[in-house]
Amino acid sequence: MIENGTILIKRIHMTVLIIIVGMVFSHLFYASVQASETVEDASICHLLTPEQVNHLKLSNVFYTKLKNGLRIYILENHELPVFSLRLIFDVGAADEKKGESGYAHLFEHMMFKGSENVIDGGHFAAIKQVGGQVNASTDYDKTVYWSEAPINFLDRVLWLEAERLQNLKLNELSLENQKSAVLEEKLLRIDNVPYYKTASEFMISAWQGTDYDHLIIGTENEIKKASLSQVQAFFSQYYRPENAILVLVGDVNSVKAAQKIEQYFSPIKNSPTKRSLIKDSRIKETTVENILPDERKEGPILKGKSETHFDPLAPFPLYALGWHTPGLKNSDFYAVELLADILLNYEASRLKYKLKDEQALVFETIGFPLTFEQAGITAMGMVPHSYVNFAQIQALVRDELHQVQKMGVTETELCSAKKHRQLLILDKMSNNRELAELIGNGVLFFDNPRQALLALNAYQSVDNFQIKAVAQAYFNDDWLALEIIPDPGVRFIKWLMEILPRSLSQTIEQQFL
Amino acid sequence: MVNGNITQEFESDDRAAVFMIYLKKRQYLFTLFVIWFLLSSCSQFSKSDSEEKPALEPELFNIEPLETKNPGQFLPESITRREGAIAETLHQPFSQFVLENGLRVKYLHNPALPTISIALVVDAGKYQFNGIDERLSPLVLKLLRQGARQYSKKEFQRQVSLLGKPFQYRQTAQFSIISAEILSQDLEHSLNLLSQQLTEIKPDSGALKKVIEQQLLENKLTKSSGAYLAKRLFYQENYPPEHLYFQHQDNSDEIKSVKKDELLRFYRRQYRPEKSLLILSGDLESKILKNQVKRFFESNKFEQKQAKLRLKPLANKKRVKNRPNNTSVNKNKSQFNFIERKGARQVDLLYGMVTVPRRSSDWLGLKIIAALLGGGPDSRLFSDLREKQGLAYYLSAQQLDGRYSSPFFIKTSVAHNKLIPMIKGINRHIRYLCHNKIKPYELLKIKQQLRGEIVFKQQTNRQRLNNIIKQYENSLEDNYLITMKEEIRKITSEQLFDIANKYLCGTHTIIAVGQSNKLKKNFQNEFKDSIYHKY
Repeated sequence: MIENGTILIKRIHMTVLIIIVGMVFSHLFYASVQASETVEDASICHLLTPEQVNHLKLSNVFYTKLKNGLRIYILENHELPVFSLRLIFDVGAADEKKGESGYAHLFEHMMFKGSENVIDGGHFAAIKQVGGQVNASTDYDKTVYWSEAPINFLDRVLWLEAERLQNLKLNELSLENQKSAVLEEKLLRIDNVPYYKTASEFMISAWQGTDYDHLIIGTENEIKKASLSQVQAFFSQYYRPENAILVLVGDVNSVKAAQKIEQYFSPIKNSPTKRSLIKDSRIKETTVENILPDERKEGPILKGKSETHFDPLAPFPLYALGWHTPGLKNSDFYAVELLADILLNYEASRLKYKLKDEQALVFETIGFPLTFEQAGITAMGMVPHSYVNFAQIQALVRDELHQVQKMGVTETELCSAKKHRQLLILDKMSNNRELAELIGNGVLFFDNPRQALLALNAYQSVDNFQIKAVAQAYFNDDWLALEIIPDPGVRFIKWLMEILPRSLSQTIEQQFL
Repeated sequence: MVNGNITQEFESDDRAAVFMIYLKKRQYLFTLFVIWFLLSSCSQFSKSDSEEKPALEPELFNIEPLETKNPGQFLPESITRREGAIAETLHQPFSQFVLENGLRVKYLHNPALPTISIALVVDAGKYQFNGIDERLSPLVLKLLRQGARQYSKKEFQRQVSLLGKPFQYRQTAQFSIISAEILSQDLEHSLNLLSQQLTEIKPDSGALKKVIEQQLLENKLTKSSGAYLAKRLFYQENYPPEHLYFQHQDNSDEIKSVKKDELLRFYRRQYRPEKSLLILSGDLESKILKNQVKRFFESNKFEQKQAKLRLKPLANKKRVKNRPNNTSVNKNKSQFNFIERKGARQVDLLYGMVTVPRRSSDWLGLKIIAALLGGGPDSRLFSDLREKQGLAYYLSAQQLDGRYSSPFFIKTSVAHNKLIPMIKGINRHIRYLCHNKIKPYELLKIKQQLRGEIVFKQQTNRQRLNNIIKQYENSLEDNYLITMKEEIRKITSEQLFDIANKYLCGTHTIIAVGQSNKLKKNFQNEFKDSIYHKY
C-alpha cells in the first residue's frame, strides 16, 4: 500500500509538471492564435455601411397633425398591395391608480365590444372578412391597436377606428364577460405557467415604489371590482386624439392617405376630463435615469434583493439573477443592451459559456432583458446542476463582472453584439406592422419617427470605455437573486446533493435525470 | 492555481471513496430515501393505470341556431361600394440550381433590405418510422451546436456570433432546419459555417453527454406543459406505432444509452447534400451565390459520399411505401381522457380528430372549417365562448398539414369550474356545424380571410423561406399558393357540409389536463356518451 502510494505521489508530481509545461505552451500558442483570430475576426465582422443605412425605408416618413391634436405618420411601402395601421395611446399600466391594476389592459379588451354603429365583435369581423388581421396590446407605457388589410380596405379600417373612438358603447354585460376573459388570460399566461407567476411577482416587488410596481394584467380582486363608471372615466381621460399617435405604413400615397385620415378622425373631439393627463413621474425621481454619472457612486435607489419561492408547477429548480438597468430613454441604454448580449444572451456569451460549458455548473441559461420607458431589468435564468448551490454561481458571475468592469470586452464581442442589435432593427423593417411599431415607438418615446435609424448609429458608436462604465454602474453584485424550487422535498434533496462530493452527486443526478 | 485545482480534485475523489464505503453500509436505506424523494418530485408526470368507466346514456344536446347576423352589414355603403376584391399579388418564383453532389439550392433576389434569410433543410425530421431513429434525430440536431470538423464548440459558436445572430435549429415532422438571418455582406462567412454542419461533426464524449442532458431536460420541461401532454396523448391514442406521427416515448435510460456511433451513423445517413435543400431570400447576387455555394458545399468530402449514394430529388422521395394513411384505432364512442397535472391552475383542453393529409382534396375544406370555428377573433367559438360567455381567453381550431393523415384540433384553456360549460359549448358548435350549412356571407368571409392571409405570408424573407419549406414538407407543387387561392375561390357550402359530416361529426378524442380534485363531483356524469379514461 505504501509503495503504491509513493508511486502514486511520483506520478502525481510528473503529471503536475507535464500539465504545467503543457499549459505554459498551450497558453503561448493560444495567445498567438487569439491574436491572429482577432485580425481575422475584424475582417469578418462588417457592420452596416453608412450607404446601407441611408437606403433604409425609414428615411422618408410623412408627418401631419390634426387640429384635435392627433399626430399622423405615414410611410409608403409599395412592395405588396397591403397596409398596416397602428393607433397608439400614451397610457399603460404605469398610469393606473392604486387599486386599479389591470384597468389599461381590461379597457383594451373593451374597445372591441361595439359602438353606436358597430355590433359587439363587429370590429374583428369587418377586418377579418377582408383578409386582414387585427389585435391590440398593453404594456406599462402604452396601449396599441393595430390592424392590417389589403390596401383597397383602408377606408373601412379608418372608419372602424374612428367610429369606436367617437361612439364607443360600454355596458355591464360586456364588461363582466371581459373581466372573465381577462382572468382566464391571467391563468393562461401567468398563473398556470411554470416559474412565471413567481418570477413576475418577484420582478414587480423589485420595482416597489415606482409606477411599475404591479402586474400589467392586474390582480384578480381589482379586475373583479372594476366598474362601468371607472372604465368610462378611463376612456375619457386617455382615449383622446391629443393623447394618440396614428401610424400608417403600406402601399399608399402619403398625401392622399393623410386626407382620408383627416376625413375620418378630424370630427373626434377631446372630451373634457377631470383627471390629469400628466403621467405619474414618481419613477423618474427614483431610478438611475436622471442620476448624473457622479451621483451613480452613491448607488441606484432601486436595490437588489434575494428570495426563495416554491412553485408546484416547476419541473426542476431554477436560479435567476437580474440587475436594475436603465429605461430606454437613458443614454446608457445602448451600451447596457450590448453588454447584456455579450454577457447573457448569446450561445457564445460569456456567462453562458462559463457556467454551462466551462464549469458545468448549470444545464442551461437563458437571458431575458426587459426594458420599458423608465426602467428595465436585465436578467438571466439558470437551471443548475443538482450539486451546485446558488452561492457558487453568484461567485462565478461576480468574478466575471469584475473582469468586465476592469478590462472591458474584446473588439470581436463588441462587434458581434452591435451586429446583433442592427439585425434586430432590420428585422423589424421587413414588414409593415413592425415598421409601424418602430415609427410609433420612436414618436412616443423620443418624438422622432426615425429614432430607429438613430439607434443603429447609437449602437455603432458604443466603445469599450462605455461598456466598462455601464458594467460598473449597473452590473454589480447588488443584484436581484431568485431561487425557485418545485417543493420543500426537492429543496432538501438538492441540499443533500450540494454537500455530497461532486462526483457522487453527478452519478446520482445522471441516474435520476 | 493549477496545483490547487488538482489537489481539490483528489480531495474530492477521496471524499467520494470514503462516502462509497459508508454508502455500502447504508446502501439500501439511503438508496430508498433518494428514490423516494426524487420520485415524489416527478410524480405529477407519471401515468397511472387507465380506468375505463362504463358508457352511460348519451346526452341530448340542445342545438340552438347561433346568432348568424352578418357583422359586415353595419358598414356604411359609401365605404363598401368602393372596395372591390383583394388585389392579386405577383408570384415571385425562386430560382434554382443543383450541385453535382445533389444539394438543391433555391434562391430569391430581394434587395429591399441589406439582409438575407438562409435555411438549410435536411431530411431528418422530428418524426421517424422507428423509435430508435426518432430518439437519435433531435440529439443529432443538438450535436450540430457542439462544433464541427474545423472548429471546437467554443470556436464554432464564436464564429457564428460574428454573424450577429445565432443559428436557429428546429425540426418539423419531415425536416431538421438550420436557419440564419444575416447582413448581406456576411453571405460567404455564413455559407462557410453552414456547410460545416453538413460536412462532418466530431463530437467528443463531453459533447455527447451535454446533448443527452439537454434532451432529458427538454423532455422534462415539455412534460410540464398541459397542452403538450394533451397533444402527446392524442397522437398515442390515435396513431398506430408504425405510423410516422406516432410519438415514441423514450424513457431516460434509453436516451442515456445512446452511443456516439449511433448518432454519427444517423448523421452520415441523413445529413447529406442529396438529402438537403439550401434556401435563400434577400439581397444577394445570383452569380456570387453560385460561386460561394459551390466553394463551400462541393467539397471533397461530399464527392466521396456521392460516390457511395445515388442522387434522389427531395420532393420525389417516398420514405416508406404502403404506410397507413389513417388511424387503425376503431372507435364507436368518443373518448374522454383526463390527465392529472399536479398544481395546475387551469385545464388545458384538446379536441382531436384524425382527418386527411395535406394533398387530399378535402384538406382545404377542413382548413376553411377550422377558420370558421376557431380561426381568429371573429370565429364562431371565439365570439360565442369567449366574447359572449367569457369562458376562456385562448380558443382555436386548426387543421394541421402533413404528408400523412393529420389531425383537426380544437384547443383551449379554462378554469376548472368552467370546464363543463366549455365542453358543452364546443359540442354545441360541432353539432350545429353538422346540421347546418355554412351561410353564404360566412363562407365569403372565410374565403377572403384565407386569401388575405396568403398575401400577408409573402412579406418577409423568412416567410418566403417558410413557404418553400411548407411546400417540401407536404410534397406540394412550386405554385401551391396560387393553386390554393383558386381552390378557395371554387369551394362551396355544400362541399363544406359534406366534409364536416365526413370527418368531424363522428367520434372524437377529448383530452383535458388539470387537477381532478378541483372538478365538480358530478363531472363524470356530464360525459355519459363518452368512454372516460383517467391518466
